[in-house]
Amino acid sequence: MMNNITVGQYLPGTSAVHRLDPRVKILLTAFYIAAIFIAKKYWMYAVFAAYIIAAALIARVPLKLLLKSIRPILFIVVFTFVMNLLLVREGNLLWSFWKIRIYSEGIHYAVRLALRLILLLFGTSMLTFTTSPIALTDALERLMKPLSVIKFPAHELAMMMTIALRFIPTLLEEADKIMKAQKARGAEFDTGNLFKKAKAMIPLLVPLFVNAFRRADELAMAMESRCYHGGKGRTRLRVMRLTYVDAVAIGINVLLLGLLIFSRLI
Amino acid sequence: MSIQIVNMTHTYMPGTPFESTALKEINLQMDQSEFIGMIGHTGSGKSTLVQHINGLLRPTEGKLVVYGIDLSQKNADLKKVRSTVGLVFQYPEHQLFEETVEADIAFGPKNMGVTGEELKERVHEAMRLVGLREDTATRSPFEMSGGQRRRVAIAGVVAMRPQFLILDEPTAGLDPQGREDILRLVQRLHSEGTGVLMVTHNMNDIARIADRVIVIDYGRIRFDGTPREVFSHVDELEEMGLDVPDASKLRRMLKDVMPDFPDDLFDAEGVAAYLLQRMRGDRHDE
Amino acid sequence: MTDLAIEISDISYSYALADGGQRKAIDHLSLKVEKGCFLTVIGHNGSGKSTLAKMLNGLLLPDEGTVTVMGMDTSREEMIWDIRRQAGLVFQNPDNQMVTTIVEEDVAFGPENLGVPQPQIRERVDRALRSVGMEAYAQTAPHMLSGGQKQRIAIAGILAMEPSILILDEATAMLDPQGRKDILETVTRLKEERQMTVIWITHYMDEAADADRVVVMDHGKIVMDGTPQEIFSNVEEMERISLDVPMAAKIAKKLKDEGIEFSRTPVKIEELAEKICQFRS
Repeated sequence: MMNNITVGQYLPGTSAVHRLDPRVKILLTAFYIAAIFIAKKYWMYAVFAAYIIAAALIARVPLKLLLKSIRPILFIVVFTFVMNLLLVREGNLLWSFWKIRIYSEGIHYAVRLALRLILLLFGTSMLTFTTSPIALTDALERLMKPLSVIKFPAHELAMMMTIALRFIPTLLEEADKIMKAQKARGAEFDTGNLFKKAKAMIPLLVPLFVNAFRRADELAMAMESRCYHGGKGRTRLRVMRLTYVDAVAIGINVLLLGLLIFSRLI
Repeated sequence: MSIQIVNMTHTYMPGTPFESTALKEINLQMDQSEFIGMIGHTGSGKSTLVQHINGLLRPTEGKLVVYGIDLSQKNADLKKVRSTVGLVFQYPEHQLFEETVEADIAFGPKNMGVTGEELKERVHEAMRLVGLREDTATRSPFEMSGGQRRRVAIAGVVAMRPQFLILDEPTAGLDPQGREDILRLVQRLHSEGTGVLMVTHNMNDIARIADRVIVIDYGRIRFDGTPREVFSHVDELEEMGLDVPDASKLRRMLKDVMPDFPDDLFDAEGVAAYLLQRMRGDRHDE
Repeated sequence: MTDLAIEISDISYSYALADGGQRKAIDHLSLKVEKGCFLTVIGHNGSGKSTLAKMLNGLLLPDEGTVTVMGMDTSREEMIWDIRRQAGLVFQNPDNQMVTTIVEEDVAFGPENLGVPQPQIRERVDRALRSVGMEAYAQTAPHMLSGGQKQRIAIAGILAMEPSILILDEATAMLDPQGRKDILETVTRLKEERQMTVIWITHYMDEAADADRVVVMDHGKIVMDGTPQEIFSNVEEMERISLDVPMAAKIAKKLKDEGIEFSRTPVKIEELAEKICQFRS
């Protein structure tokens, strides 16, 4: 039953967007995020929206799913929108009532920020929809490799991420099992007030942690016995090679950059 | 009848793309007087079935009555069911969480509202039944050996004084000594009046100690009868990917030379005695 | 070069206990294993067999004595990675030895650590997956596999390092009968195909039936050493150290007590049936 849990929101596929080198995808996403915060013209936001929707169509990501990705930050979007609306005191006063004053610039600020946040979510969701967590981790490690000069633990971080991703399903399954076992002993997890509920979690959390430590111990032993000794001298099975798909994607983004510069100059 | 299952079906995640039927039209009656063995390969639906009897899962269709409590009803008294039918999960030592053995064993009865002297009494009775020495009561279960931790976990269920005890592969991962200890403990509980349903992969054991064997395959009951009846279907069982007792294998291999090999012999002593009598007989014939 | 895969001379090892004391896990143990041998080590929990397994690739070093693996002393630090490459270890819990979320990447983990060039890793991974019959699962996530399949991946992960010795430390203890059978068959076949030395550690007696040699451990010592037939004909000694013997050997022993003796102790039930048929003709 717990086998259906997928980590992250990765939607497997073989589209051009999926086939992009994950390193390129990460860099392009970073560029995209910077760009939506630099852009000021509304038509430029329309361009970025079109860009993301086109990518979603190519990758066969349902647009509904893309829209749904805003849900977790919907509150923040609304909150910042209202705050900007009320607090910005620039431009022409459009409307006032009691202590509330709405200025023209306030509307612009509010709309812009809301659009930026929504576009930001669209972009990062597209990255996680079309890139497996393990590819992302791998790409991050390789992108951060130059930082090892300043002793930045790129490999260690990536390995930690990989192991975490590997064990999330295992631990969820185990949590489900322990919960059932304690229920069979009369435990109740969903009744009583907050304090009672927190206390009821002890019979679940203690064994979960004990087992996790045991697992960690055994895993460390298994890794050592398979000659793991850090990132030094390590080669990789997965090759990351730039292809024409990446060239096309980068080309499109150079165009976007041109448009962006143009939009800020006029 | 202590447990009655009528036309029970269970579907996981109905209405989603992950929908799968784990149990199909199960009909089963179990009585407290019985020692029942349940066999079936991994994923056959055994675990799903035993979780129903403890009220952890609800039937999608059909009827399930446990000691007079109808579990197909929404408002069934689950607490009562769980104190009447005890369920020991696979690798139960992985659910221990208290600092001392006695505290962990007390968890179940305490959840049922048992306190004071009676709680103490139950903990000590459970410890005695599973063969844990008194002086281990204040020890940390995490410092004990694997076999001992398993006994603590079983005691935690026994202390709830269930009338019927279900054990999901209670001997998995134990060495021969640990396996024998657990089997003896289950037999003792049965002889003191507890009904037993034991899921297992060890055919030699189950043929020897159970008085009824149920075979589950792809969510359906394929065989249900005495070990003698069930293990006469050697070929069908092997087709399902299941093992059969060594004695049943031997019987099949010798069926041409010893057609009268009894089908109710499962232990080494019995088989040896039969062979001895036959082989001596042959010698006398010559 | 000697013909020994493993040479253990007079090793001892103690664990530190929480209360400050010590528990002797290995007690003056010596053992020589020839190349290409299928050696089964049996013993109950706490007999020291898992500790021994960890000594065989330098995860643990003996307090006294020496362990030599393919001519290399495990206490020589500069050789440790070579020793671990030569003597691969498969552990008991299938879940706790997989590192990544895709099967083929997990199999590649060992060669990656050894710094094998990429094209060769690809070859090794594909070959190892074929060897264990799991090539169809190369892209699967480990948590979607059964216990037996996970252990086959663990074996593939070791094979990809191209070892001479395969050590399995109770690798079947958590599997169902089908999974156990699969693993035993896979390892038996691999041993033939790749001329490997196999150290199979278990407490399931019937898994020892086809071994070239069986060693019985108790209290950190080797108490019996011989062919499966020799070991399992000694029912009293096995019972004394609370170990079981396979059903066939148990029946044969009872027959022997009554004066019916076979030339060679049957270990498998098929052998017993054969002997009985021969006896009658």
